[in-house]
Amino acid sequence: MTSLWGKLPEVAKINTPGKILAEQAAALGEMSSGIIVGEITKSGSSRGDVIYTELRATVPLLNNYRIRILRVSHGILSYPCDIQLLFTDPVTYSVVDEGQLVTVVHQALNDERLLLTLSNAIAQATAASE
Amino acid sequence: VATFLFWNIAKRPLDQEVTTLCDELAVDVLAVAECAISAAKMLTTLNSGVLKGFSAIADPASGSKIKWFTRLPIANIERVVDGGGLSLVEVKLFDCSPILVGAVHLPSKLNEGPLEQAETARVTAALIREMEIARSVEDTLIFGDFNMNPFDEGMAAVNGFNAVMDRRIAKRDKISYKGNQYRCFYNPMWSLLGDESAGPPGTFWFPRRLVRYHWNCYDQAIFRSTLMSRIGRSDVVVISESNGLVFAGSGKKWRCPSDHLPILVKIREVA
Repeated sequence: MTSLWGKLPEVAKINTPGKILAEQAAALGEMSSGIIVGEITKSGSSRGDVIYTELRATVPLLNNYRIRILRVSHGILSYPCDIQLLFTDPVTYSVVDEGQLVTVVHQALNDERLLLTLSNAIAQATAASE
Repeated sequence: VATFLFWNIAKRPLDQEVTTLCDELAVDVLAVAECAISAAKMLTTLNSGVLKGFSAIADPASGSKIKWFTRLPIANIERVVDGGGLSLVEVKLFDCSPILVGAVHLPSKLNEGPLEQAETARVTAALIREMEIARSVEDTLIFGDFNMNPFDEGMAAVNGFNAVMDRRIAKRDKISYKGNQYRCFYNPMWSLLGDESAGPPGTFWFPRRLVRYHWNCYDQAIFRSTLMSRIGRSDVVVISESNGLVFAGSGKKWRCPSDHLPILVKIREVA
């Protein structure tokens, strides 16, 4: 029988919010020489129609001290999605595509108070491990 | 395959040598004893190597004799107990049931006689069993610097580590003595003793004292029968060279930067 299905768009070309946050988690580990670990947690709504991806910073040398940074939520389509800032003022942004998501995440990861906190965490972890 | 490396680095600044070994052996989990280097410094050096992606494993009981580092997601490793020369972690590998991995640095023969060492072994083995029961985990690997040879009382006694030399005996899983059942370990180090073995004759060169073995096998890896199908005959290795440097030649040609050779264990996925 001939398939009546249309051609699926190339999966590799879909840059999901989860993938974007995972890259930022890895970048955090790299820029802190592994002293801070970027972690991604995934969960779903009780009805199963919303997927949540949260980016956290964990400091193993400070007994796994955790800093929640932001959470992205979306349905089965990656976009549009909502970005909830968890560390800075609790604001939620709605974005329609990857470009807007990257802009908001970039802003969130450049927050001065967040960077100061991470920097202090590195200093404390370094001192604690002496 | 998940690769575990243990090295007693004798309080020397060997972070670069450790990093080179990790790169060469594609190490996933690293346990270091007698590590005077801060965890932060070790991480910086490890992550400047080829592999990268190392993080430390949380140490709530600071002052542990073992420092742990890993390339696995930190959520997959949890410290279970620390103290008395044993540092035990629970590791989730390959989406399988968790396993317990313990790294030890037990008291030196310079400080404890055979009786004290056997008692330390008994207490440590009992704690490991207690944690297996508490966590409902049967698959356990213990490796590190036991400061005992495979034939010492603490390693062989049924109420000590109960670590036997023969896979066929280990397969029984429990050995009975005077009506009590004791879970045993398989000890592959018996097969790595002496100059007919594939690697060096031992892990620690000590040609002194009236009774001398010259080579001792203080650094060992022992595991439960339930892990035997996942740790093959060539999966426990005494590392004898790195970066082109042969650590242990014959006689006095000891060129290892530490006084102990490192040991490597590979755990494979469930078939």
